[in-house]
Amino acid sequence: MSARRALSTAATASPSNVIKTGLIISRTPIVSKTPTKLESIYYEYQSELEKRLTWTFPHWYYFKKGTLAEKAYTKLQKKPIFKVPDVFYPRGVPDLKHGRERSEKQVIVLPEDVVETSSGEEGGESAMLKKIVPNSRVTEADQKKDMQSLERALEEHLYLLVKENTKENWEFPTFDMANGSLLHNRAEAGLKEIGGPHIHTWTVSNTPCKVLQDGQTNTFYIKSHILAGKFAPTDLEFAWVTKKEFKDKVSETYYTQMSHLLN
Amino acid sequence: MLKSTVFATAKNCTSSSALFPAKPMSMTFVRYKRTKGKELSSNVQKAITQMSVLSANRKQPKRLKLCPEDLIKHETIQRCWAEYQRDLRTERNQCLEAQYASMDEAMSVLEQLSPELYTAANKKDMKHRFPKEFRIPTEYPPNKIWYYEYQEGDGNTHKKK
Amino acid sequence: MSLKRHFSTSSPAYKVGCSIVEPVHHLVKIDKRRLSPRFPELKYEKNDIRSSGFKPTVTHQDRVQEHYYHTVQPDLLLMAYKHGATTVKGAKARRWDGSSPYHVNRKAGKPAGAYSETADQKPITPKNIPQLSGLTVSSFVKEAKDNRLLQISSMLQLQQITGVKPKRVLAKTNVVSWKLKAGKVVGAKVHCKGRPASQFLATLSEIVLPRVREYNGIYESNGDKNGNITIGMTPEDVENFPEIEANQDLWPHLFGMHVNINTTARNDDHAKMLISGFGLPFTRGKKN
Repeated sequence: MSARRALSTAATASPSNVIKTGLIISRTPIVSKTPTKLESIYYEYQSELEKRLTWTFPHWYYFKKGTLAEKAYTKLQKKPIFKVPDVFYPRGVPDLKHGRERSEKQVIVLPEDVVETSSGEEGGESAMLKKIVPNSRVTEADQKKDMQSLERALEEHLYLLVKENTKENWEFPTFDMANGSLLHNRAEAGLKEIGGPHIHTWTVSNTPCKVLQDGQTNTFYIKSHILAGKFAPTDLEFAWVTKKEFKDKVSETYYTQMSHLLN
Repeated sequence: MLKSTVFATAKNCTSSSALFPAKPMSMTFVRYKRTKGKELSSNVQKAITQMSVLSANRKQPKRLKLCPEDLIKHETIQRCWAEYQRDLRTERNQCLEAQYASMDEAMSVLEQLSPELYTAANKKDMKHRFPKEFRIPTEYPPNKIWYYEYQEGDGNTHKKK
Repeated sequence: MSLKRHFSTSSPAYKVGCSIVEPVHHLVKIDKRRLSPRFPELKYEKNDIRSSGFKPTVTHQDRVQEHYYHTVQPDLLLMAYKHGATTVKGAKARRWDGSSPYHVNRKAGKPAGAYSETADQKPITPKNIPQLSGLTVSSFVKEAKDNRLLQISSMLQLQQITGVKPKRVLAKTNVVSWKLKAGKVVGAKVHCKGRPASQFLATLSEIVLPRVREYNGIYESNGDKNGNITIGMTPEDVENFPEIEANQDLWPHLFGMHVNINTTARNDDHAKMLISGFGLPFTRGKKN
């Protein structure tokens, strides 16, 4: 054991090659991506086709015949046009089966929909009938452009960039190797040294995903995700950035070296 | 509607008169509640309803009949989508290839610089799993977006209050 | 029981000691529908809008698949990557070398150190990162032997929770002690792919499994050694599906089921790595 440790120390300490470890830590997306214009149009086209081609809704299964629920259901539906002999139908002869016009999509109004909208207008008297209003995909931190917040750019990956006071460039945090420690262990420990212990992370793998060779220095990057907690350094500037903001913040060479690792 | 009932009544009368000629003919016909087809037990009736949900019988809409112009439009849309998907796929694969090349390079360099670190980095933990806190992105964010109050040594982080 | 010859199956039950008739191998399948000039409308592919079986598939955003592409897939590549890895041969059945004429038709021996054959383990590259290939949900209804109507109910249950049309499951063999006869309808199964599979997986990981009593995760001992993980669900667990829960009075009788998650992984550990990325945690413990 001691012999091995001595070997590693020799490798790390020799001036010809210095090993450092870096950490690419990201917050994974919280909400799904906004579909592009093409995507949303195509989804709409396909879902309209699907609605046109779906089988008739078996209302008799959900609303038993002769019950109040069935009455309420049938009352809400739009009345179909029946075929009567000797009548001219300019939009095609009606073809009804189970009360559905077979040449069109079936539109179903559910009793719940009506309850929801009416209570929503009145302000919601009971918790049961209250309409569910989803949270906004754009948060307060988004509007304030608070780069240190993790509640920002919810549909993107956020990456941690730091700038030491002595340096000019923004980059991923890097740490000098301690004797006998492994790359990923050192990167995890290093993050807690600079950012405080109250941070919950998950290291993707003990394998480095990138090496940056700068003269004699070799920095091996370890990939990780932040799961909870706060990165709160004392004497360090930091920012959680998306890939787009990363491009604006770092130098051009650094971006070309690193961009394929970011999503 | 009226015509048909009259017709049915008349037909009924003729047949009954053939069977029982002695009875006097009456023009009023009373249709009672049907009793013959009602022998199915409630379980069978329920199963029939369930089968009607599963089956396509009488539930299928008319088939689509596209005119040549609409067909060409549809095919154009499909081709556009296929090409868009192909572009996305190519981009994704190129990104993965680049990532693979960079991790391969990193490991080759590490092998030369420090064999001990290399051995440790190449040791695969097959029981490594994604953490419990990992979740599939949803359409809208949760009420509490980020758990900032995490303390060192907390086991379960995303506890709801 | 029919005793006709089946070249399509290799059921050992029918196998005799040695083959008397030269086997016929129908290697070329002929789709006669395509040879005939009649009924051109029957020759369209299923994904052609002119076909009667056309069903649009890309009807909404697939957030599960997007999550896989953006987060899980790159991470999985790094997790499964091993520098300088080579292909490791899997356990293979031990065939007879043919040195004796009695070796013809003799059953191959079980693979050494394994119950069944396993796949070769190829190094993970961007070309073969494990991904979800589909889901099979099946339920075996024991009571269907006595009451055939219950099988219909189980079919409907699967259709309601997956949104895909199920198929019947027939008994393959006679088991007298279980009153099972070959050819009897004993259950239902459904294969999901694409969006229905994503939808089902999301429902399972976000709504159903977290509400299961004393649930800590899927047991690590699960798996068939070929990258398929199966989750067993009792009727009480099935109750948590929103489609069932919303219409409780329609479901006096629920059925347990097996959810088989099929992946392209060549071994269970890679499959479990993948599945844990979809919010289905794993625990070390006994098999369920």
